[in-house]
Amino acid sequence: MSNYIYISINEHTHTHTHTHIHFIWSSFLLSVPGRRRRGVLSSTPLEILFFLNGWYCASYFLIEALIFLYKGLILPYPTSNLVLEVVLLALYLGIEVTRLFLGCRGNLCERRLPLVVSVGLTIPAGLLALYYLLLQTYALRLETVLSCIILVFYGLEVILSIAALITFCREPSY
Amino acid sequence: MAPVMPWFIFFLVWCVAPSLTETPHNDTHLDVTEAEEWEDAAISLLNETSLAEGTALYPPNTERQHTPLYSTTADPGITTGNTRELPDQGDPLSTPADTQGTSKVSAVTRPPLLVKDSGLPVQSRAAALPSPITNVSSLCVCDLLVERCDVNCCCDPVCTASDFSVFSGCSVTVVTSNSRLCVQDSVLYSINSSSAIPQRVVQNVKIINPDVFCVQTANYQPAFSFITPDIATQNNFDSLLKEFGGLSFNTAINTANSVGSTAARTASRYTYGAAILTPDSFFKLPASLGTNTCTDSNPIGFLVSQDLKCSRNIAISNCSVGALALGTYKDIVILSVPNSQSAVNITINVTSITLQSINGTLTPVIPGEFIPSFDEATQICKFVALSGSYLVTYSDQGTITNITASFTLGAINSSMVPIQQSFKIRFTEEGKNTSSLSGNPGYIVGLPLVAGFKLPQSGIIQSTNRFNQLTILKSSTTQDCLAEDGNRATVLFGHNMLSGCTLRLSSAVSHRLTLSRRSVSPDSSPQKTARAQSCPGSRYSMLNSTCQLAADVVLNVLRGQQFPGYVAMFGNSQPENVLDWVPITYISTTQRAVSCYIPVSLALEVRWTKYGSFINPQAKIVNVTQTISHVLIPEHFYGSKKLLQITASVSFVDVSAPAQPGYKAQPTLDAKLPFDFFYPFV
Repeated sequence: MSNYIYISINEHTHTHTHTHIHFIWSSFLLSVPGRRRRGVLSSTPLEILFFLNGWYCASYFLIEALIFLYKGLILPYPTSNLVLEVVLLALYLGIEVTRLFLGCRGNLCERRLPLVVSVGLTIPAGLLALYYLLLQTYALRLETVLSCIILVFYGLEVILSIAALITFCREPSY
Repeated sequence: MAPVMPWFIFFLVWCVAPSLTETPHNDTHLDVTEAEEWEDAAISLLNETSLAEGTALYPPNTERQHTPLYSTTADPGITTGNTRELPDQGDPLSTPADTQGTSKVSAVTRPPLLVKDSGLPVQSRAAALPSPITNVSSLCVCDLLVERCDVNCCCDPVCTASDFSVFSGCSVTVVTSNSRLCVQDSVLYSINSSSAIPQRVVQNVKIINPDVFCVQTANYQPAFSFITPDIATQNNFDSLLKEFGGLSFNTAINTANSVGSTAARTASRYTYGAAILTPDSFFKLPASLGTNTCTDSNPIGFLVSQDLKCSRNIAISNCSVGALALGTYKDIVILSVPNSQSAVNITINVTSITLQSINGTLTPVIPGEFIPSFDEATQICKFVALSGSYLVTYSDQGTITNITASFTLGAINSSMVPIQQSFKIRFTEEGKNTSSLSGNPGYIVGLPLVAGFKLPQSGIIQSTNRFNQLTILKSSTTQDCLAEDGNRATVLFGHNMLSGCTLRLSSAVSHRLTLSRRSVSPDSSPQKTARAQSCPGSRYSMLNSTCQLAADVVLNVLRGQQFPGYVAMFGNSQPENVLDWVPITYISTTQRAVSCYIPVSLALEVRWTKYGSFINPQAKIVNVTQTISHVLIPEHFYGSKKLLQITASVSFVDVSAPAQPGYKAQPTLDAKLPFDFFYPFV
């Protein structure tokens, strides 16, 4: 929404640059408090992080699926544990996709609510990452590495999301 | 996006590097500062160790793991130091004196290490079952002798420092926990022979598994060990009894082969050993079970030829019981196939019935109905079923086509009780000429050797009685060689035999010899007999003829009437194939001189070999040697009464060569292009 407004203002000023009246009008607009011209509030590092995290997330779940196949064949597993962990992995995938989608949308649209939900979803996602890091039946070294990386993603995303939220809150929205 | 990638890669490296080089923090229970101190100390110590021993056992990142900070509070034995010398502090048996001695020894080499050594409490475990040993420092695979020090076993807790000083090395140098783990507790044993007195060096180390797929954290405790069985208590006793109380742990009982089961009745044909079925039950004959007494429910298996014999104790006045009636064994209806839908009932075809009188004479009668009846006047019970013989004809589809039987009915009185019943059942395939073999193809131990004669331009001629083809002298109670005529024992494959008789030589026996000679072998050398009788006055000729007579008689006793010239190589050798027969080699020690030689022993040596595959070798006879030994009888011998021991023996010698590996020939690829392959061009 704010993008559209920004563009329309820009066009307005551009097309009527040489019109005195319009110049006065635009300067009048800018001079009015609360109606001054504003830049892009979306966070570029956060957007980059979300993009990378999306690719990483896809590869993470692919590798995890293969790892569970490997572990199920190689290691002695109680069936209940294996089922629980695979179901949790599917749940984790759903949470992660939702979180990334909402976070990305919230950041680009400068909307607070999706970004807040995304940050909220980071908590169960982080807990699940911790589960696969520490508490699952057998944590392979590869899984440890993968989970550590994903936890680092979460940390950075939470920090940047909160920063973006603060920016959004400071700036009034139309 | 491009400028971001190096950052991301750096970020990845930054994330991965610590986790590869360090153990995860969840393993450590010490705070960071303490850990760093310990780590520094450990690195310096390890440098010392590697300098002192001249070997660096692990790469530097591995050696960082040697620090005591990895040992958990659960195992106090490892906290005592990463490098120790001599008796194991974790060992509850080690005495304080041992520990002091240890400290002394190691104080010379590495004083800082032993500061951390301390007397450690032994945790007492009050459990009904011995808890499994999971501590690698107390595991010892080379500790074979109880309460003894095993040679070169450096982890043996019984060994003392003096024992270790004479060890040449350690048979087990490293004891490691599960190899799937990323960080493996392990104990290294070595003998430090560079010092004046060789000492054992024990090192508790953590081996880092470089594999990416190693198990970093194993939260499932029984994963790498066997399950500890439950202790039976009042609460779980019933469930345990239900699980383990039966005769076998397998709850599904295999009933496919049991007699009379539904599975047996749904089969479309009989298989070997399957009980022959009747419409309501199965075919059964009396048999002895455990004792001599008859039991009536003995099922008869298909293709299982049996000779059953048992005794029955009956009251003679009440002999009209079913077990003695002919109808019980005659009026049996048998299913031709087990499957009752397609079953054709087969009745037993009685071919002959023989009546046996009270004194044993046999009379054949026309088959009919005979019911045992007791005669009050004579106190004799007639028509008692004494024996039966069944011949079952079957087809190659496993169906029974015919059963013929013959019975013997006897008259019994009270003196014959308990009576003996015998039954015989044989199986023969439909349309096949049955002839018994001694093996197929190789000989079977216990079956008679197949032997015969060979006439020029003919095959082998055999006796029809296979137990009469190759025989030797049979010992009798009288041990008189002249009375042994026709008493022969069959040579059975694999059975070594020794028999003998005694020849009583005296001048008085001469006449008897002559008679015996005539009766035994009238076809051979009648001239000598005539000469012996024609010149009674000549002592020499008389003695000589007596000697000759004795030699011939003894030879006849040893070899029998017809000693065969050929023995079959295999149990199923056909008489037409002469090459399947081996001639019997004859070796004699006789010297036909003027002195008297009498054969005293016949030794039959059968050399056989295992033939064919290693899995199922077949016995094949390769050589048969008949050795007849003679003995010189001095002239004065005839005057006195002397005994001459005659022996016959059969021995089987296995001359098998060691098995050779044999392989199938590699198939050759016969790939030829057709001659007009390049037709349009060339």
